[in-house]
Amino acid sequence: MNIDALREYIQTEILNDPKFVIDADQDLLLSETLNSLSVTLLIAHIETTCDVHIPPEDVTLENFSTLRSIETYIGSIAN
Amino acid sequence: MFDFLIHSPVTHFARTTPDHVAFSCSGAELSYAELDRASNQLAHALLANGMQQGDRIGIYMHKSLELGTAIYGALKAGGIFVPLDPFMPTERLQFILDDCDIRHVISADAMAPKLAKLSGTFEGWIYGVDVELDLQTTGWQHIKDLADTKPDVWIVDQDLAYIMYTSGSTGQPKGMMHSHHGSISYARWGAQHVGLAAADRVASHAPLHFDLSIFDFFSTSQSGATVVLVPEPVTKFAASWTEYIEKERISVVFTVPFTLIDMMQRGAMDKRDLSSLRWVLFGGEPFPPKHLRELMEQLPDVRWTNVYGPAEAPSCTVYDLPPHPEPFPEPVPIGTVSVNSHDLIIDEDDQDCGIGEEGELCIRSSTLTKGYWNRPDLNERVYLYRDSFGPFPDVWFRTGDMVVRHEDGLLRFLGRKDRMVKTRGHRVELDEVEAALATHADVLEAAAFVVPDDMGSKSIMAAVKLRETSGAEVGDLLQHARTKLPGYAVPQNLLAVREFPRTSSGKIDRKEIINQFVNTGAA
Repeated sequence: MNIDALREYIQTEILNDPKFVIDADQDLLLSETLNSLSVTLLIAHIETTCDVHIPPEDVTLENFSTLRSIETYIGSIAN
Repeated sequence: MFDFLIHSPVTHFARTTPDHVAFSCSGAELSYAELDRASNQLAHALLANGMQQGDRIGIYMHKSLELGTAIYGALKAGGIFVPLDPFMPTERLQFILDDCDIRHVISADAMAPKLAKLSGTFEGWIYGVDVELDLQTTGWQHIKDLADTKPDVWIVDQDLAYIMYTSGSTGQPKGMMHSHHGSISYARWGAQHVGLAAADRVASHAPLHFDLSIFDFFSTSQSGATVVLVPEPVTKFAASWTEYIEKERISVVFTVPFTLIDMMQRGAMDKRDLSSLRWVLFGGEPFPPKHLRELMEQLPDVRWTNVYGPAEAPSCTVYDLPPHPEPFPEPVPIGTVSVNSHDLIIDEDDQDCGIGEEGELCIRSSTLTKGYWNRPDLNERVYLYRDSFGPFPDVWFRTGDMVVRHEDGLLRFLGRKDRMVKTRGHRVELDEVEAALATHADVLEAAAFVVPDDMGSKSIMAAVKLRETSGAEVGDLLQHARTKLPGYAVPQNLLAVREFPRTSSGKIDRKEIINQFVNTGAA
């Protein structure tokens, strides 16, 4: 799952706003693009789409702070 | 030991335990001596720029060591600090700046893009910003060159210490005024109840504009202990939060049930050493007993306290849970009144209610607000006066919360009298949400309501009736709401309807809307 796919999911399914601008390196929390509830939705979507299991201890700021860090994390568990 | 002002302990502990850590944030630390000096310097900067005693001082920044300096600098200069949510929309920020006549704002470089939007409208001073802005700024580089002696300002405990803005039913937030006397009463209650000592490391998890933060900052300094500031992004990830507790050896936490339930469900608690944690206080909304019991099982050595109190009268009642595995009453009671507080339950005719009778809780307390800033209309409504003796009547605050006292003497929370709701601990007036949506040109009418979520809290939803010719989509309306409301008050979803269901009296039938919402699967 790449940055574009992640962005599109957040825009359409979480924010209900396809025009919402999200840069790849934008802090998703400090910009209030995501909150703790929407992170949960995003995790479930990634698990379903990529057929992976994300353990709770991996759902951290380090792995989920930007679109780029999420992409990197998905790449690391998919391999 | 020290006098009656909320900031005095910092100077005291700067003398007695100068090297002890006052603030810690992601591994960076500020000692009591450093805090005392830095806040004196900031106070001198404020006074040098014409700040007068009693001026309102905005604090507009994310969690960082400078946040402590900002609070104490504003207080030491004789100012009244006003927390400004760093996430709030510019329009709301502008409203508070104007409403409270704020001419001095302490901020940070990271806020520069948002501060730039104030250019042309804000004519006061911005402190703590070293980057270039089209505003009057005083950076830390300059402030650190100023005298670090205590400024010569005379303050008494009747003076205001802070004004905290919260959701208002008119569509605009309202500011609660709290004196040094009220703040220090709250702080001392907290420090004594939990038995805070210098070795304690108290989490500052709640944002500064949330009244729980007054415990975090000021109960801690009463005891010469350490405030551990939790950066906002860490609070959003349960696993990062539990890791932070472990790394920072946090011993006391005061937060909302939502955070604790999230921590239990997603915090990988079994992977962390949380043995430093000794006391958890929670408040803001009811804690579902099944989740609380599960959490107590996972942290059996921790003490648990339910703290009740609107931000106008914080911590006015309290209930200490019996130690695990003893059973506790369900739902969790809000307990009995705290030290130096007094409760009264009244019916619709302001007559006293007896045991088992439901009524509105009124409180008189040393922690009580001194009213709402600039809102005589509200101040007239929220207080109840009863003759006592002498020239001053007893002043009671009408909480708007319905309660009942059982035979066991414990108070139970039943719900609200009005349309104020709590979502993840945040207080939101549904009237304000509706007013914000109704400012969109295509919205004819709006109805906001809440539905339960799976975290023991509530989610805000809304339905709107649009003009027939409207091409507005849900995303457009939500984006509009984001420019008016703080993030936690923006509806999670919207339903566009042709016509609202109505009650026989013509009012919007919100119960029916909730049914429609659930049936469409929009929730």
